[in-house]
Amino acid sequence: MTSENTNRANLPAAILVFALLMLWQMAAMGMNAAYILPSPVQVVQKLWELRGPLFTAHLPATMSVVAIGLIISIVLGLALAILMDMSPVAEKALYPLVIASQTIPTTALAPLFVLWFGYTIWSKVLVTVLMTFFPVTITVFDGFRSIRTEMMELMFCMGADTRQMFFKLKLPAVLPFFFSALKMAVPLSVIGAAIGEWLGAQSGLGYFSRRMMTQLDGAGVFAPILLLSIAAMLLTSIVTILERRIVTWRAE
Amino acid sequence: MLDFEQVVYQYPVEKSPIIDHLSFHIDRGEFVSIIGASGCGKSTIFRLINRLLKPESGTIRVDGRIVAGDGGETAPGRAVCGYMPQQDLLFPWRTVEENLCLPMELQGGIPKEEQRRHAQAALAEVGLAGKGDKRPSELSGGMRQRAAFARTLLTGSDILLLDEPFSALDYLTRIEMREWLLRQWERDKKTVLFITHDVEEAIFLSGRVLVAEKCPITSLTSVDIPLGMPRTIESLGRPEIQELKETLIHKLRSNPVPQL
Repeated sequence: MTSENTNRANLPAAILVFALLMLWQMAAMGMNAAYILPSPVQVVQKLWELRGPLFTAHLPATMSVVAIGLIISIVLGLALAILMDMSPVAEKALYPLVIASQTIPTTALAPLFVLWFGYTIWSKVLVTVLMTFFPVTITVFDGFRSIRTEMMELMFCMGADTRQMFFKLKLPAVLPFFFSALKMAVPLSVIGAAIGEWLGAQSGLGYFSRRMMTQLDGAGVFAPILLLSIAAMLLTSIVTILERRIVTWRAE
Repeated sequence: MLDFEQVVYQYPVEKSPIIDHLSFHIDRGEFVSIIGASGCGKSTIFRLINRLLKPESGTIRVDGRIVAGDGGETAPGRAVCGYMPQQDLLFPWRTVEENLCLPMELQGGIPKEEQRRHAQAALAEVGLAGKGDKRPSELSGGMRQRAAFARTLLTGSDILLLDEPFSALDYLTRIEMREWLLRQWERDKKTVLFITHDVEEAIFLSGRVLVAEKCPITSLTSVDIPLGMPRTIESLGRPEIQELKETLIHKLRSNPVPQL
């Protein structure tokens, strides 16, 4: 697809977003109560005003939680998926646990994490990991299960050993699933980091947003959240670009 | 080249064996087809040779070496024969040439350059010269099957097991591929064991047809095909061949597979 086509395809979405923003702007101007509903223009103005602390202190703090949390989630998620694929016993033991872990209301437990780890980065990382490792594990494991038996049999008949089976068939076959997992994991990790900071932190965008709340500064609440969304969108598009570079074959 | 001796196999969920004390022999350089109704256990024979299934008793030998059964077996991690399944199973993330290199990569010890040379030579042989850099998805069904056949050849094995390789193709392509396969066989002189449920295809391709008359398979009836080489599609029109075809079909229909 050429970039001109892409632009044209995105046009309806752009028009809708613009219309919604206009609606919001008018509603906010009508209400004239910025502490409850700041207008989009006020939010952007606030973002500009606060650019110093937001970009030099709070954004880096949040992004380091996101980065550490994502790395741990990917390593943990991949390890679990590979383990479950290699051993049926591990699958039987782990699969229900992994699913059960998702029924835990992470948000409600998070204050406890603060007690365990204090205001260090690790309480936030734990919230992030708990929210993020799941889609990685499940999606990658589903990827392993979707590999056609006939292909594995063919590999066996051609004399492949376990290692070759993994690196020459399973790994490439699972790559598209891994990228789908990443595209889910990235926004979740940003949300996880923000929730973690909201509940107990000394810096970070989530923390900053909460502090503005106590000061009844509506625009100040929205500004760091706007920044968070932009960060999540940027990260996701980086993943998409990587995916297009690496997964060059059409999914069958 | 290939020997079955008193081979018994039973699927774990079934009450009785699907292959019961089966013995047969195939000579080096033969083109033999196994025909039988669907579900009668033709593919099971291939899976036994490929060690995807283990025989309960009996011995399977390829080229004199025991590959499965009583008295030892070939360890996994080694190919015993070239196997071509119904679908081409070319890996979509590899180019056609990389797909052809796969069996050589798995065997190990062949330098990359040499692999590429072999792959390109094989591509030229199957009429796909210059298509090496394409993805499998860019090829037509017939081309993909030819690439899969080239990959089978590159396992380096002298015996090829072809499991209904043309069944997914349209009629005209299938006829073309049959003629093409015979030419390949005449040139390479490999031993080919070909599974099909298409009697006409079996007659056209083979020197000898093994008929799975009964279910479970206790024996395979060997029928020689009185046709010399080269063959054309017109050879099938001869009266004695028509008669043979009807006899074979009758044999297959007289003992239908029990309904499950």
